[in-house]
Amino acid sequence: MEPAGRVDDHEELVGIRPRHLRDHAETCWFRRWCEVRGRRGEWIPGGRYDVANRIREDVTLAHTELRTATLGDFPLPDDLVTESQQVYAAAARGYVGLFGDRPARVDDVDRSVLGDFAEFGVRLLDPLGIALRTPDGSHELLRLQIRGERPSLPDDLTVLAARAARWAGAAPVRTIAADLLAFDFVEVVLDDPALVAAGEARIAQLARDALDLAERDEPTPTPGSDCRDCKYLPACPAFRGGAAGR
Amino acid sequence: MSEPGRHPLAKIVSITPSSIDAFSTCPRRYANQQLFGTPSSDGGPANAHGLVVHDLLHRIHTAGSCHDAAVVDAALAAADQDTEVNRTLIARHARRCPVEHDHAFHEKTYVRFHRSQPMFLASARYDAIWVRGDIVDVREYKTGVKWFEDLAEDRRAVLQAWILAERVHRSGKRLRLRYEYLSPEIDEDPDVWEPGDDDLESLTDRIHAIVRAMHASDWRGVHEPTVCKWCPYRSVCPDSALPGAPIWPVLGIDP
Repeated sequence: MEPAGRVDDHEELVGIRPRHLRDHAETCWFRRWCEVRGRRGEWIPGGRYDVANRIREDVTLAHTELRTATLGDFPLPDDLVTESQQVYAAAARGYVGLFGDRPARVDDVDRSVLGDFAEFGVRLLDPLGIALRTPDGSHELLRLQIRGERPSLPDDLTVLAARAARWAGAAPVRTIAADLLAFDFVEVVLDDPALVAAGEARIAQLARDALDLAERDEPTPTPGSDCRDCKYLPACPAFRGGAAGR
Repeated sequence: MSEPGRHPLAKIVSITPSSIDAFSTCPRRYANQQLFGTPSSDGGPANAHGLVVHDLLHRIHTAGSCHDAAVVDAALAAADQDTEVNRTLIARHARRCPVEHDHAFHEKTYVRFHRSQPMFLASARYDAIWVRGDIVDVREYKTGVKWFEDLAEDRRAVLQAWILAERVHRSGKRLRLRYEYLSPEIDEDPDVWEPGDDDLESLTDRIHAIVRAMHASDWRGVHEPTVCKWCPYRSVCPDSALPGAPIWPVLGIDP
């Protein structure tokens, strides 16, 4: 497949967000256009991700060396509100309960390896997961959630497979999605070259679409569900009409 | 334990009917839902069967009419939800559903941005909007408890009306809002509400006041048993009047 555009400076890679992987009837192309052009928008507080981020950091720290994690690796953060502390404590118990008998070591891989597809001119922005190696050298990708719901992997595994292959090459990658409050996990082994090829093709297409969109004139916005967490409201043409907007 | 403190809101607050209802009921509940992202500690989805009914009605109205038995049968079968309860709810709805209309929209999201400080973006997903002549007939399907007899007192209805009001007014039509309570236990719906021109400004003021209160809030809970008993966070909230144990797994792991 032809690369959408070759860039040498990774800072110029177009960012692809998870929501860009799926279009829906209410996709707002103005918002998408702003995102692929890397426009700054309003700051949106990320407090709702505090616990998940902290757990991921502590899991990563716990596996700096090849060993199992224990509850001692999860000191209760004193800068979270009470409820978040309880969620953190329960998630920590969930992690140790699910994976406490499995030694592993974080693979020291640059984050850009797991997200950059420079030959296509894009960077996939969502965290792939925690990249681990087990005692026998196997690759394990751990995707953690703290929702109290059944965990799931994407229906379409191709992009995941392509990203995992950037890290593991042709080696199989045991990919686990776990919900630490539901105390449940699902897994799949990514080892199919056809899946990787399909993923690269998909990413290449996403890149072409994103770069094509970035080159266009400002699209007409589609006010709807995409507005809810949009950073570009003050600049949005749909709402320039005054206090009421549309 | 951390004391409850101020948690920064976005400069442009995003509100929905359920989020302003949550804030007005208990600021701590709102904070857990919208700011802290706290998973429910006390039970599953608020109204799982309600979601099923909404999906069924969407399927029926998209495929045809709730007055057409074949369409209803097909929708129930396709969703694997052909039960006496569901048939009863759908029949109760059909008795109130407009037979004729010019246009219809189902499960559609509308938004409205308020640019005066404090700014906010209001959004709502409407179960059904029937356009009949000069009437924009908005319906919300309810399967739970009826809290208000007067929709003008229901904060959710106020926001739903506000979002559409200016658009409808500009079109020269009249906005009419009705909550359909589908459960057999509820005999009568609240009165239909048609906010007039005089109401529009007061709607804006009411919603603006809620958003200002959000910015000023210290996110403390109300600590009322009648409120806490319905709260999905009652087991972990430091202000709960009904503390308990969360449903999250308790593992026999020594620290």
